[in-house]
Amino acid sequence: MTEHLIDDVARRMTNVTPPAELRARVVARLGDRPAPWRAWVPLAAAAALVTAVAGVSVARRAPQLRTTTPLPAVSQTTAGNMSAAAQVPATATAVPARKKHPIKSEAISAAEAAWRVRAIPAIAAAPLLTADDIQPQSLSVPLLELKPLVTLPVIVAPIGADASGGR
Amino acid sequence: MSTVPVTAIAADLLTALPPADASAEGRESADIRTLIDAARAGDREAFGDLVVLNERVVLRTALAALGSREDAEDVTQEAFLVAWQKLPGFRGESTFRTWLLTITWRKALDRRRARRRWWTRLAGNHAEEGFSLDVLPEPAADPERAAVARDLSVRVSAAINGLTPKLRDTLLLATSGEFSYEQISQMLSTPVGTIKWRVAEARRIVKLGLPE
Repeated sequence: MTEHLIDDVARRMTNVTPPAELRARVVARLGDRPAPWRAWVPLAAAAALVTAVAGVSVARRAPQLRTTTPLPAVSQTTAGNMSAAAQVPATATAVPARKKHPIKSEAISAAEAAWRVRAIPAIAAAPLLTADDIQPQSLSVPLLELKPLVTLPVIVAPIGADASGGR
Repeated sequence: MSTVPVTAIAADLLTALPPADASAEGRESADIRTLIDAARAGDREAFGDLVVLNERVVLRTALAALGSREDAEDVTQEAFLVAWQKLPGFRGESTFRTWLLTITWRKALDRRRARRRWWTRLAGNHAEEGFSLDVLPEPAADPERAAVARDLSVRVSAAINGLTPKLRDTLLLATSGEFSYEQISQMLSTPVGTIKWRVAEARRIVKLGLPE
C-alpha cells in the first residue's frame, strides 16, 4: 500500500492540466521554417573561405619560389656575341618580386657600383675571340721508317760433344 | 495527534485519483500520420492539432524535470516550436510523441541547469526550487482524515523532492502513467534496466522516510 501511495503522490506532482490557450499561443509563434538548402549555406561559405585562403597562400608562395631558383650563369655567358652591357639587366631580373623580404643580392654597395662602371666598358671593349685565334699549330711528325728484322742462326753444340761427359 | 492509520489515508487518496491517461505509444494512427505529413508540409493548423493531442504529456514531462508550472509551460511552448522547426527532419524512426518528448526533456534539462546557475548565484548554495505542493489536491474526506492525508502527502512529496535528480526524474516519469519504461529509456538515453532500478531505488528511499 505504501508503494501505491508513493506512486500516487508522485503522479499527482505532475498531474496538471494544460492551459486552454496553449494551442493558440504555439500556433501564433510558429515561424517560417528555413529552406532545406539554407542548411548548406554555412558549409558552402566555409568551403569557399578555405579555398580562398588556400589560393592566396599559394599565390604568395609562388613568386618566392621563382626568385629562389638560381639563374644558370652559363646560359648568359655561352652566347658569345652577347655584350656585357646586356648582361647587367639580365642579372637584375633575378631580384625577387616580393617587396617585404628583399634578397640581399639586390643591394649593391657603392664600391661594387663603381667597379661595374669601370669594368663593364672595359669588358665591352675587349676584342672578341674567334676560332682562328685559338687554332693550334699543325703537328710535324717525321715519317716512320720500317726496316726488316734480321735474325741470326742459332748454333747449338751436339750433346756429348763435351770431352768430360760428366753431369 | 491523529490516530487514523496510514493505509486508510492511502485508500482515500487512491479513490480520489482521476483515471490515468492511456498512452498513445505504439499505435500511431493513420490520422496522426496524416497530421504529421500535413504539418511537415507547412500546415500550421495540422500542427496545432498535434499540439492539442500532446500538450498534456509534454507539460507533464516538463513539470517532472522542473517542478514549476510556469517553467514547465514555457518549456512546453519552446519544445513545440523546436518540433515545428525540426519536423521536416523527422524520419519516423520513433513515434512522433517519443520524438517530441525527447525534445521536451532536453529543453527542460537546459532550463533546469540555467535555473540552478541562477539560484546558485542568488542564494550562494546549490539549493533548488522544490515542487510546489499546490499541485496536490485535497482529498475528499472528513476534515481529520483530510488533514492527515494532506500531511502524509506533504511528507511523501518532500521525500520525493529530496531524491537525487536522476531518481526523482525517473520516478515522476514512470508514475505519471504516460510513458512506458522503453519511452523513458529513450528520453533519458538510459538502459531500461537502469530505469527500473532507479524507480525501485526511489521508492525504497522515499519509503524509509515515512511513518510505519
